[in-house]
Amino acid sequence: MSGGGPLSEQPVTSMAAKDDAVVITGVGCNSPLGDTKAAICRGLERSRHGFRMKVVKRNSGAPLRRSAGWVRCGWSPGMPLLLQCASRSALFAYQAAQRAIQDARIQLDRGNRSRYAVVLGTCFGSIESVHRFDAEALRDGTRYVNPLLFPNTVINAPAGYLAACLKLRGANVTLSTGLSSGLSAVAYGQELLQTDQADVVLAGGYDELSPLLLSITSEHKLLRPETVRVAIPRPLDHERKGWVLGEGAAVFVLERRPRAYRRGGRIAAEIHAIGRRSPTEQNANGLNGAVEEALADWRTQKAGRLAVFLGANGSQRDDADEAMAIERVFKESVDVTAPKSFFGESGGANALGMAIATWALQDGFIPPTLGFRRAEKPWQLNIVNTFIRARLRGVLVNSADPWGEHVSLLLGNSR
Amino acid sequence: MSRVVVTGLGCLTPIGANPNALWDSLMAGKSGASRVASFDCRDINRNVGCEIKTWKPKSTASRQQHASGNGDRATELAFYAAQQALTDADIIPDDHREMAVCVGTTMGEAYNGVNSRDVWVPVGRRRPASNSFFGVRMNHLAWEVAQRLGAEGPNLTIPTACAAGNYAIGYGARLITSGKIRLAVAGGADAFSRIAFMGFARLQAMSPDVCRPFDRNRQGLLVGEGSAFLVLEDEERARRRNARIYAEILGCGLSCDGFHITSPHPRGLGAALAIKRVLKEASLGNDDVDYISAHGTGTQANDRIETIAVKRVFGARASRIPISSIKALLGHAMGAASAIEAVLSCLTILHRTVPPTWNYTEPDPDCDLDYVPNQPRKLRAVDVVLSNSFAFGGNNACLAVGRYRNSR
Repeated sequence: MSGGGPLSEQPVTSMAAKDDAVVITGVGCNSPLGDTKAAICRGLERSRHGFRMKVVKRNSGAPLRRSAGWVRCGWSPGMPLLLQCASRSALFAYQAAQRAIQDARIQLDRGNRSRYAVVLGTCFGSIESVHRFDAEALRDGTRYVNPLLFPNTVINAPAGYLAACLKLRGANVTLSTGLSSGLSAVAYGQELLQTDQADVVLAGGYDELSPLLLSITSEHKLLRPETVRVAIPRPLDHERKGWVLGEGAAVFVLERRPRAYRRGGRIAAEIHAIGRRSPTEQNANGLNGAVEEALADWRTQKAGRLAVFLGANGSQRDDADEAMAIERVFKESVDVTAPKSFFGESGGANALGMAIATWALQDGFIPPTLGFRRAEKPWQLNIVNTFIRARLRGVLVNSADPWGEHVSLLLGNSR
Repeated sequence: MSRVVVTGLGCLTPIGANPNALWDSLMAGKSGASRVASFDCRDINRNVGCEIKTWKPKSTASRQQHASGNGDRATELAFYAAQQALTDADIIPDDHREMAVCVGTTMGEAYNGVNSRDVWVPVGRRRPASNSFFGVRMNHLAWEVAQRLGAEGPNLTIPTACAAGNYAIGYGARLITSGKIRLAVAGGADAFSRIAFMGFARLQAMSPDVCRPFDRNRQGLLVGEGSAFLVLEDEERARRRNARIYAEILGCGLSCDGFHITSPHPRGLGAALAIKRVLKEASLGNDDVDYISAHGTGTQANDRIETIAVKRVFGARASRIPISSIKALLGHAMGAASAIEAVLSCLTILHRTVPPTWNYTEPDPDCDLDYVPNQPRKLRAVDVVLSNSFAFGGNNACLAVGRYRNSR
């Protein structure tokens, strides 16, 4: 860090050397749509969402009926014993990471585990574990609360469990930028690779649902109102009425291209560029800035068909702001879709969207925006509402969070 | 690559509401430990903690002043120290726009929301408090500080438990070296929390009276609170505006134990790896390190393993490097701890004086380094300080802070 100083004679690391680009060599998921590429892509193709109706208890004890993207997940004897007392978040992260490693065909026992880093993003972190720990203490008395539950209350527990289970000794980072956390974690992972702090990074996002979270977001009128049938969020549609929450995780194996080639890894996609902006009161165009930054190189190259995977989640204001930002930046019709219409909103949802974007690049498709019929304004956007086959050169994965960070990540086909 | 210099310091701790007051208290051995006042601990078999008792958040004022204002205690602690650091650095509000905000924390507002409002437990409250939504968002600290300061660069919260402050400072520095930004305010904040207090008590990791790092009779840590921030600036930018430069950030080494969620690696492999990494990154040799600011929590395991790790890296020289822990007086401020220690590292360089390990009375055969017991030590020169921090989840971060030398 002390480049130029008497104490530092380090080689300068090129941030944009294209031959040294950061590539994705493995993808692992745990989502309401399923946990394999085949299951998730089948759901997208058949327009089958992952939401279920569930009645949970509010703080007051009154029932709260909400549809949400729940994932079936629990500790099973095949999993490490260390995870027996872990939170569902930790299980999601572990399972997704395991699948990503399998997908990347990495033999962990062969590599240097001290060069394997973990970077995970979360929005709602350990809230459910905090609640459970405190509730147990109040119910049974503080002298009797289970001390094994305490580590789960600490936000970085899932990343810590993951490293402990896989014996990874590289940098271990948990971060939060709100609903953009999954993409921010990928950006952080990319930086670790570009600055030669790791050879392989497991990066992604996760979040778990809980009655508490549903209750709080419901009280704050962020969710779609109660309905009799299962509700879907309908991003960008003129009748959208709020979020539907989801849960799960998506984790990517990131490497620099030469290393991936050397070990014979399959490159699923390349991270071209990432734009990040902090939204502030004075900075209404923060999202534009992030998208412009991500697209800077792409525009000069005019590199082919691009699709935009929006972060739109059914929010009245935020969906419109995002659509307008994309419209302003592109100035011509572009294919856009909102994958959260299938699995809901969470800190890991954008990472799930990025996983789908990776597969869309590989297999050539654009998933529909489920529930979209008509926009309230004639935006200059081609909002895709049926599954289409299309050869893509790039996918812009977007995440706009007015209470967090705007992140735009441009994925490209590997060369 | 740009060099990263520290041009502003800010902190709020149980023994000082600014860096100078903190330094004076540390030199004088003023302890922040006292009977816990913010909640009833009759049912917990411990009752001593390090709370900030002379400061109250000015949340009402800030709500009128700023567009947002959904901060609870941790946010107010963070904002106070960040603003103090920016004032110290003489950064004008117009320059805030280009700034990144990186905040390390263990729990952000999540614990505190439960503490102060009983939002999440069924105690008869029917509706969540108006700011509970922000309490459940783990990024709230950085976002709220960025909002209030009008910062438009990256803003992220790094909740890597007790090592979070170093992570945040290291990341802020890295954003500058990579050329992405030229100015960052980075540090950590955590509020005193009933849940952390209860959790450490149940893990039997908490001392019943005082914290005695590296002492044979140490009985554990004391839970504390606080915040500290550094203004990090690209060297050229700082020189152009003739800023006072406290020190230079030479590097930050990250590693993980990859061993257990609460216990450190018995051979200190993860901790040693973080120290080795920062030495490599900063191109430092073993002989270059003048002082080590220890993580030194006062628990049996931590202090023993930290000693092993330091010996593993520095070999025979380990016993000749002064190493001390300020947690004897401050308690463990969780995510803020390493940020406070980073502020102290800058002041140690400035004053050429090593803060001592207070409450050290009986040497432990397992901890056999030079812990600077009970008396500040004036050195001829303190040019390089390593600041260790080791956390839950096996997260390790070691920061190297150096005396700034003009390269021109």
